Amino acid sequence: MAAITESVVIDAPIEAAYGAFADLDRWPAILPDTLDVQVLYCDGYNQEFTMTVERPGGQETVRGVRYCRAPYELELVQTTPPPLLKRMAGRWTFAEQDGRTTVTATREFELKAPPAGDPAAAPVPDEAEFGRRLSGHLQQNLQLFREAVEADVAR
Amino acid sequence: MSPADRAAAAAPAESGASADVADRSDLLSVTRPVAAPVAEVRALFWDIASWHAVWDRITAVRVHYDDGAHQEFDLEVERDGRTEFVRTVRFLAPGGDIEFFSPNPPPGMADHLGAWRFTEQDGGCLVTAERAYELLPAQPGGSPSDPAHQDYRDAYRRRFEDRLGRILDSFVSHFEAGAQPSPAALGAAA
Repeated sequence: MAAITESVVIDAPIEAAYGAFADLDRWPAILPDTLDVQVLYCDGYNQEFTMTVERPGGQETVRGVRYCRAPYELELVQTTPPPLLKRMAGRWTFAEQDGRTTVTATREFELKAPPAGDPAAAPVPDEAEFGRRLSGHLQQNLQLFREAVEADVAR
Repeated sequence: MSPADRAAAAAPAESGASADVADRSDLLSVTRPVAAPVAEVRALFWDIASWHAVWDRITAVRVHYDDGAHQEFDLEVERDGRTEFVRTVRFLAPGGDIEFFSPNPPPGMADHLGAWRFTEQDGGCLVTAERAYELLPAQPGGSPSDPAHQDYRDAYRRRFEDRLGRILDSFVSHFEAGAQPSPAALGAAA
């Protein structure tokens, strides 16, 4: 599987940073392209959810499971990944130093095989191109979380 | 993370009354030695589609997702003369144990999570089944604080321990019979 990594430094304690990423109910307020989140199950460690996001091609709904290892790590697997993908997994890790928290997000993904013999099918990006797009999206989301968490702490 | 730790982690998030929630959860642990290498045993436990050949109470399995480390499936299984439908998500932990939770737990349970743990012993494998679960009241409208609920919990626990022991015994017999490992088992053991 291909892998990408992005990170951000948040001027906030680790518990505040971890808490924002762990609380899926906050995601639609933080990420403008997140239209809906339904938490199907949460026992404090295991978390299952669906998430609907706005994409250029229309709305996409994924289903995922996260393992919540507070306050250091959230591990993710999408059991129903986005349409272009065969697999998507990853994690966010949190490390605090001097009151600031570095959040590192990694993603591993595998694209579906391009549809054969369908000239009307939309072009499928190659792995490198998809990785570049995913990195940009991931970094944008990390910045939005940084703004939200820093606003929390400033209150 | 053990089912007990996960049950404890759940307590504050659920109600803020951690002691109360912890009191409602039951923990089980049953261990059996299996005469086969750890990798082979673990692989067969992971290969849920092959379980019906080992544990004959399984009547249907539908695997929705499996990437070798994460797995989601529906299970149709006979218990006490009834067919139960359970949806389970499993995770192959870095240490090699299989941890799971049931977003749709078995009937009668509010929560159900657990682990299969594998320890090398004299060339064979000790398999430990751990469970953490919370029972719904036995009677509709009943309360977990009813005195009768404790009797129900005790009786349920004995039956559950016995059932886990029989599941593990079926795996013991499977390997003692020299059964050929499944293709998935061979792949994982390689």
